[in-house]
Amino acid sequence: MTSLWRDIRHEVAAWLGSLKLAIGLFLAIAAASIAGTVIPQGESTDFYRQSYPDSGAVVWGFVTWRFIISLGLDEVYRSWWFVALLLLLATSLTICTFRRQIPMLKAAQNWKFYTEPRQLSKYALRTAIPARGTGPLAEQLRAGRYKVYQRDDLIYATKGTIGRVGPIVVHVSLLLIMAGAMIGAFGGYQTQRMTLAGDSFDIKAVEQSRLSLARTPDWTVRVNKFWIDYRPDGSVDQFHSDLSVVSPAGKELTRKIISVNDPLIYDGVTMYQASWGVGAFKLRLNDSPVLTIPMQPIEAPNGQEAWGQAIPFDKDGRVALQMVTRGLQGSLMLLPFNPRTGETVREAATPARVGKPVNILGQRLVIEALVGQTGIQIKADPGIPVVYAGFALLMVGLAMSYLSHSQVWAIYRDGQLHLAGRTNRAQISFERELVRMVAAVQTPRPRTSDALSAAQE
Amino acid sequence: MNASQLVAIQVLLDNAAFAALMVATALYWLAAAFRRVPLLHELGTGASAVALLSVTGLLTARWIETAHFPVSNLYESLFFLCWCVLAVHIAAEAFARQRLVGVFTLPVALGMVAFSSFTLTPAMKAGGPLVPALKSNWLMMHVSVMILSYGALMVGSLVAIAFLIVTWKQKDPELRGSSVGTGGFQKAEYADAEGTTPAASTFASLGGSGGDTTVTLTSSAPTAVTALRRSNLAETLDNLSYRLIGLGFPLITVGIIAGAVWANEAWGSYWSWDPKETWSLITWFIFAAYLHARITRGWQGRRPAMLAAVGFVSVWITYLGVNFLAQGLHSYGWLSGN
Repeated sequence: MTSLWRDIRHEVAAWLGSLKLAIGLFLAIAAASIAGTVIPQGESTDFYRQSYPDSGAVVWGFVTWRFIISLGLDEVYRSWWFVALLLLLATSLTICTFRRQIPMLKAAQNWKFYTEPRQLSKYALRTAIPARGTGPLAEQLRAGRYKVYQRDDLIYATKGTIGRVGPIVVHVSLLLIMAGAMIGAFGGYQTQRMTLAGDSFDIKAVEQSRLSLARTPDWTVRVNKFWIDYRPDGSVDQFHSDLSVVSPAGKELTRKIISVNDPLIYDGVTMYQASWGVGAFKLRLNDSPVLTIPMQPIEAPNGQEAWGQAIPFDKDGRVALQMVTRGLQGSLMLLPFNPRTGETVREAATPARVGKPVNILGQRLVIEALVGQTGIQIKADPGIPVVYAGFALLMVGLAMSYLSHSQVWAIYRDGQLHLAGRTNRAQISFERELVRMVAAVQTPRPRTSDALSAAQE
Repeated sequence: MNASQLVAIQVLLDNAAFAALMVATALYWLAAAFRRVPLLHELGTGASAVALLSVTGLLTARWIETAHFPVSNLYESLFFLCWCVLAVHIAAEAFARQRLVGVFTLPVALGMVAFSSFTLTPAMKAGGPLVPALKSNWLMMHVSVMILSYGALMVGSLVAIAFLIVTWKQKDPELRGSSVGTGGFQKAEYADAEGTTPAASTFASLGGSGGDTTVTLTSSAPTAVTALRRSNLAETLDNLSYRLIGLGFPLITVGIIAGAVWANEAWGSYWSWDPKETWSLITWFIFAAYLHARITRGWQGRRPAMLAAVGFVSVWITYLGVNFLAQGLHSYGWLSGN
């Protein structure tokens, strides 16, 4: 019974560590990922019901909305089977490293001299040349950065053993990246805040995933200022938010002006400049005090983004005034309209600038300021250091993996130098290297050197 | 030099690159068809070098004009990709001493320049300032490494396609080069200690399939086996494609990592399954499968090269197809200011 159990365990481990499973997993994950780029992800059920009907024009004959929802193709990368594929890949990586790569590295380090020329005949790349001994070849090999072992008339030389370590480093680094991603999935969170300049936000409520064990901070963030740098042609150059992190007691803990590609990092939480809007405007009408009125995003007739708000403009409610702006540059359009019919009073439409009084329908109006609204993306991911360590190790491992592990054996007997060599990656370069060495080592003979010079061309 | 002069230089060099690539493609094809005619191949290499210089000049002029590394729109990135393909092509040709490479790589480079010259509108060609999302030192790091990897992977898989064509009628050519060292042995019966059994040798049949790379070192020694047998055409192509893909794979990995780190620094997530990054991962997995297939028993012969050919399509979808397929971070529309 125990031996049967051992056999089964051995078989399962062999299957899990096999290259065929690995290749199958690569291609399966690739295929699943393709599905996720073809089918729109994370939409509502209604969207799929409309786009992928189960009668009439069925997409490809079988892709119905029921099919998509039941297989989790609406959220491929979070579906249980996709995560299962990734976990299987991690298992395969681990087992392959211990069952295959490490024994192979040991085998590569375990070398021997060959003592009989016929033993070299198994190598495809071999030759026998007239020579005076092993000395000149050993010299050539050392010049070619080989590590040379000599005994009597025998040579073993090797270089690039590190190329055999590379793949192991790659596998370990991939496992690290996956571990870091899991730490992030369990211990991290992400959220967004739209905030008017001057207001504060907290991070107590976040959209945590089911798995999250994350704790959110108790400090708040005050948006001191938000502004946009415009280029002369009116396009945006950069967005800036001046943020202060404030403790529950009201003490300022840190302060930074963030912009796109330059976030604020505090207490393991990162705050990014992600979007923006016009949140409000400040208005004075005739002799009124300054009124702050919020603005909403609206779509301008030409499809461009804009912000606007309508305010009643006479006592009887017959005229309202729509304020529209395209950004924070300071220009607005004032459009009087009839709130009952929605009809615009075209001839009374007036452009306005911040700070400049305008007269409209007999009233004096000043827009004192446009107040920006900044969109901050907030994220905490405790897995980042592990993922980054994996990234660094992966690059090192791949660089090591480009090196070719070359081995050369030679036997000197009766005026003949028998030599053979093999390499695991750089076949062409290795052949050239060997031909060059053979040419240099060979005792000159007219016929042979002719043949050699032909070979060098 | 003022901006309009720089634009004029770009137009001139754009046309020069197109003409040089057309000539180079024709010369490579003629050289492959008429092997006896001298100088055709050398002239082809010369024309592709002229094309490389023209594209270099064009990109330099654009860099001076816009004051940022020219990879911010499709026109610029196509020319940079063309530059990478040509540079890898010339290096590969010099390394492998193989005139067949250009037969496959040059038409692809020509296609890129033709597409960017004839189908893109003047507005799409013009250089401009960077949108805020792209204003980062990571732009150059991420995009240039990514495109360089596309270049290496494209040329590598084109050489694999050349290998498939050269070995069209053979059943299972033996592969030369893999991380465990397939192909270092003479015959199948000498299974090595690592458990790799190379497929049956077909050297004899390959020897006649053209190419002049088989070089035999003869000597008057009495021993029976004295020739240092070197790779023939098919084996050279196979090893060349393996080495190029082996170079492109680390590059695409570094490119993806640079993109991930940039995304994390700028947007707060190193991976968001955006279509373009998903496709770069798909390409990564396909070439990972290629590299592993070479060391797998039962996957020898032409099958890894077929995977590389699939990888060629995948690189194109990653580079170009995704932009037509879907919206994502890489459409740069998320934080547009206008």
